[in-house]
Amino acid sequence: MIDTIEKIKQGDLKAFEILFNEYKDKAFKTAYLITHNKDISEDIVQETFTACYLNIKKLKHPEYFKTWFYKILTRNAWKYSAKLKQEVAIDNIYDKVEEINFKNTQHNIEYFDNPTLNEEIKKLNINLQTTLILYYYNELTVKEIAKVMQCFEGTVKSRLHTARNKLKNALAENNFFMEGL
Amino acid sequence: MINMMDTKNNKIDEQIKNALMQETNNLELNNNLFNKIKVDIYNAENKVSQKGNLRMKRNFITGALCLSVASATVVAASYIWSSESYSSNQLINSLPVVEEIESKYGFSPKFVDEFSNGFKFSGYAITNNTINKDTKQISFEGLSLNYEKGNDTIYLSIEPLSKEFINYGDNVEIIKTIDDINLYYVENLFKVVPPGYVLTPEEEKQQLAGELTISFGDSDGTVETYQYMSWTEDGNLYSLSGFECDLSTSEMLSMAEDIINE
Repeated sequence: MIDTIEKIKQGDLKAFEILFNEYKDKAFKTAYLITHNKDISEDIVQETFTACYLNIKKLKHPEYFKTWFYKILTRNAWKYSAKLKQEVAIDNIYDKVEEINFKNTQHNIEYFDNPTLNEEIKKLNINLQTTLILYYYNELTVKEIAKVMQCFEGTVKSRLHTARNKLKNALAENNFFMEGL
Repeated sequence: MINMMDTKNNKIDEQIKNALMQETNNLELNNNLFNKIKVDIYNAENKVSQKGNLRMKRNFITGALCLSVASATVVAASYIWSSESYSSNQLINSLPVVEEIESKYGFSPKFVDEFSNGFKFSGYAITNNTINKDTKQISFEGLSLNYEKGNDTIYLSIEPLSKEFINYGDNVEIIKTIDDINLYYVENLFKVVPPGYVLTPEEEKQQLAGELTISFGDSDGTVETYQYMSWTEDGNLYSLSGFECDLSTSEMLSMAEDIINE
């Protein structure tokens, strides 16, 4: 990966494509988990990779690429997320209806409780949500999340703890949570 | 003894992980996104103003001119001989009559009124083409048709061109073969530059690598993503192309099949 980044710094677009292919899906899905909108998530990925290419010369330590990349991605996602909150996009409503219809036809019994859990995750504030997504979905360490979110490691731990507790309580209240929790 | 708190945390950990995975399971990223990113990079590096609407800029490359230039550029790319295409006629809004094309221009084109994915015929023009290869020069007329759906336009060009003048080069790949007809496909960047424009060393490099197609015309230098599918059938070169259309490869293939099966 370090070699690839060094090549990109020299303007090698083929190397950049390799990097793009490695990160694109996770980046897209991370953006979606923050914004819950497919079209906006594509825009975020596009902007993030463009910014990444144009600014990669500023990255002095290629070994920190992952946290540097996710920092750009989350900032873009937060920016769009804030805009989205101010708009009621008709497209999004249709997306949502399609998504619900799709899920209903899937009869996904195994994860029957997850839509509820996802709804509860969406209710968390943006800092708790992002921490949760970076930790559970992107599998970043507490140290890496602290770098991405530019906060102390203790703050990340505290956010994870708070988020878990909020989710447990919400699910318990809804009687959806599994026995023993 | 297993710590009860750890067990509880493990369970919620697993639940959160599963919920997030499930939420994103069916998401698929647009397969043309990398080209869009390359366009953004190119325009940022070349400080091209993006204030104008891309769709407005595309209006100048209407129908015949656009498609013929595009297809000839691909043909010319690996031979390095010059080619020229232009349309002296206005777009005609009624479907062309095959018999008329046969009697006037000597070739028999296949086309549709509407593609199965909803692109509808909106106009056609006769194009005049000249190709110079070594000491040879050939001139011929071609047919160019425009199809529209929403804000997107797809161009179909049909040119009676013998195989000796067709070479797609290394960057255009055969994506499917239908009844011995090879379908060639490429996605890259397309830039229209003013006549007399001198390519930068970077542009020359990109052009040689097949990453950039340069065409001459009325332009402010903006780059767009470009999709191109082509095949030959019964002595005609067929080309389907679109700019900033975001069509999937399978959608382009099905459009080509609509023509082949016509």
